[in-house]
Amino acid sequence: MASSGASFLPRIQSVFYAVFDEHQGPKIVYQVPEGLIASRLFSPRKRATSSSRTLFNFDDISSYVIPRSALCGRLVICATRKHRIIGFPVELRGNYERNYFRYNLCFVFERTADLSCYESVVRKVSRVLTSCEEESSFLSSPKSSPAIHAILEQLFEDLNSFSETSIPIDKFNSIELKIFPFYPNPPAVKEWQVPLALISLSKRIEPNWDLTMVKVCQYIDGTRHVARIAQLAECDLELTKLAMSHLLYYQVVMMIDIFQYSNMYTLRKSIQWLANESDVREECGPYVAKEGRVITDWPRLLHLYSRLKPGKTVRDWMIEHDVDSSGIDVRRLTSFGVIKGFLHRVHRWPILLPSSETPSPEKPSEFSLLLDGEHHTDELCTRFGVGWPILKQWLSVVGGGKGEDNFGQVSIIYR
Amino acid sequence: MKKKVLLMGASGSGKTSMRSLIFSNNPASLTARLGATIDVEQNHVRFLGDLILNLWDCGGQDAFMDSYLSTQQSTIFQHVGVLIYVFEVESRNREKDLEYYRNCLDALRRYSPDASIFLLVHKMDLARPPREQVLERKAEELRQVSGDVPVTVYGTTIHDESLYKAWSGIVHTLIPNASVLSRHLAILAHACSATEVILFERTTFLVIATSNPPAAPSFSAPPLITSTPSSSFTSNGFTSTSTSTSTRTTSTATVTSQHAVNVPEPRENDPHQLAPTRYERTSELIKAFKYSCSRVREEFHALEMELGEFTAVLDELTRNTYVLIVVHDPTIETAALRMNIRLARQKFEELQGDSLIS
Repeated sequence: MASSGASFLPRIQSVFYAVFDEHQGPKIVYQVPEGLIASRLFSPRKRATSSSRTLFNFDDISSYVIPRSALCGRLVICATRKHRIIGFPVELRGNYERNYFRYNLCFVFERTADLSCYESVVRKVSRVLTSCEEESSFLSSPKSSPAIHAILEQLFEDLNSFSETSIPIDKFNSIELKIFPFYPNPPAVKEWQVPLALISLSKRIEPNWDLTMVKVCQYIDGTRHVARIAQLAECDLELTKLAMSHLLYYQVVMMIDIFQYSNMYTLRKSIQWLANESDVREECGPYVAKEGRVITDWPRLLHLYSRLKPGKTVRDWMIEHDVDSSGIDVRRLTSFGVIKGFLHRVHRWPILLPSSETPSPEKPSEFSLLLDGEHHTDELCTRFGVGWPILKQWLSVVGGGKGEDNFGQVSIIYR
Repeated sequence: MKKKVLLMGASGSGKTSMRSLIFSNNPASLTARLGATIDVEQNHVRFLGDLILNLWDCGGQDAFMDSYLSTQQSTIFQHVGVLIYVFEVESRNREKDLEYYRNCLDALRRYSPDASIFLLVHKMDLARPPREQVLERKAEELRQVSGDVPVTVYGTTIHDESLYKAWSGIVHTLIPNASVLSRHLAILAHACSATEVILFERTTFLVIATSNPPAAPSFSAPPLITSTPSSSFTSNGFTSTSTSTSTRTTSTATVTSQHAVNVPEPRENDPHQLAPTRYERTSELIKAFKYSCSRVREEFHALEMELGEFTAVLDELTRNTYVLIVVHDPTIETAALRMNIRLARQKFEELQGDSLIS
């Protein structure tokens, strides 16, 4: 995050190659850049003078670099106070002095680095080197092992500068690497969610894109929900959802809620520090101002935000604070808060309480079945294609209430 | 009761091979397959029921040795009951070996001043003859390096019985009431009119006690030079007979071969004198026999021998010991000996229980 700069891939601090020496034990044979990892074994006197430059002492981690058999053939990550070391220890049985050859090629990162994108890289390097060793004793023979130093140098330079490399080793083997950023799978897309583009999608569209994706993208405007987009684009709903998950995976869209004047919002705890963030303070005013109207200053906006509460609809809030006259686009105001993460949509979760009286059967029974407190009103609105005012009437009928915020047997949980 | 046993020495000096031979019932030929020990390998060996040997097999590479002597010093050298330091008789780096040894002694003195120290001059089979003199010189050198610390030196090799002699000696120091056991074995020997009765530990077949301690110089006398193997055990016919007799699950294997066993190896000049290496020879032979049994998937239970000169019965005494009774009186039947063993069983169970608790 912080010190690795703008690049979102973690920077390799050091690459080293270690083996188990029959007489000396675990030791680093080569490291790039030179001398960053100290070892008591080879410089017993100089330790004090060099310790300021070094990252850490090899002896402290050697039992994870050249471990016992149980850890060999597995990805091993260990950490020192400031660094994280990822490696894949290998134990090869063969015609060696002590029957086994043990080695490990490790990458060193800052402790805070996210190493997920390097896991496959480390595995692959070790796979290639192992097959070289098995075919031609590439690692263990004294003749070819200086070549490992060159490999380390190229790994260090190329991966840090270009995030990819191609290192030919011998006639049959080469190390081909490319680092892909690792993204976790996004949560399931729901039809009542509203995708909001974080980059200009239309500029990115290429002719060989997926057909559904091309059709769907042009309807993403930050107000339409997924089901509506599928309808407008004349695409299957499931395919549309799939396209949305792809966009989510690459983090080019985010999901917000459907805007209605009946919505309710509340502030999150994060407002405590986000209120002072310069990008929040400066972006908010211009973003929420209606075209051609005066930009409202941040303290006033913050005050308005703070008056949003569970149980109070946006409409009530607008009337109370005369928001209409201040030239603020209320939809943009709420979505700005949701996007920045300091505003939380309070959903209505209707629940039909069992009663002795039989509920009037004129509404679809499917509807009353959904009133179990696990489906919020956005979902119900999307499902039956109605707005909150109509839904409210239905709830009143089902619950046998007297209308206008009295739903009889239907209770509403605000969360 | 738990006793920590440190097994140290230079890399490749044979620590792990030795351990595999004594505690894992592997033959010497299989030790070539072992890999180097990474750091410390800890083993718990149940020995005589309540005594647990906590064996620390310490990898001897420089990096490991340095860490034992620096960051890990207190962990390694605390609560040590026995330090076994292994030297190669023909070492490449004599100076470095001795330097590490000296440092280990210092650390041991700081953390476990009461530990007993055994030095094994290992791989004696590789020494240039005359081996006795080579060993004597090496032992003298090691004693000098050790200064005023009392040490016991054994010459060993995994290829003959000398290893059993050394380990029996080591284990003997860990058994608090060996003399009591000896006394009761003597009573048993008397009851059987036996020449000698020997008690072995069950899994390792190390000697725990004998019926006539004065005749067992390996424990009380100053370290002896072991004799070089006069015959290797493959040529004495023992292994060949073992395969033919152990193919049945019967609890007894009867060896009838004339040259089968050299337990009481008769000397030419004095036929009544017992060979000084008979205990460790027996350990080694029985272990080899057990291994042969396991090769044909049979379990070793007991052994009876009736030969022209002597009768011998080897049978389970307690849950974790075996007893060997050797009788030179041809009129005594093996069944009588077995019955005596059966009758003695309870007494020895009690003795063993008492001794290890106190």
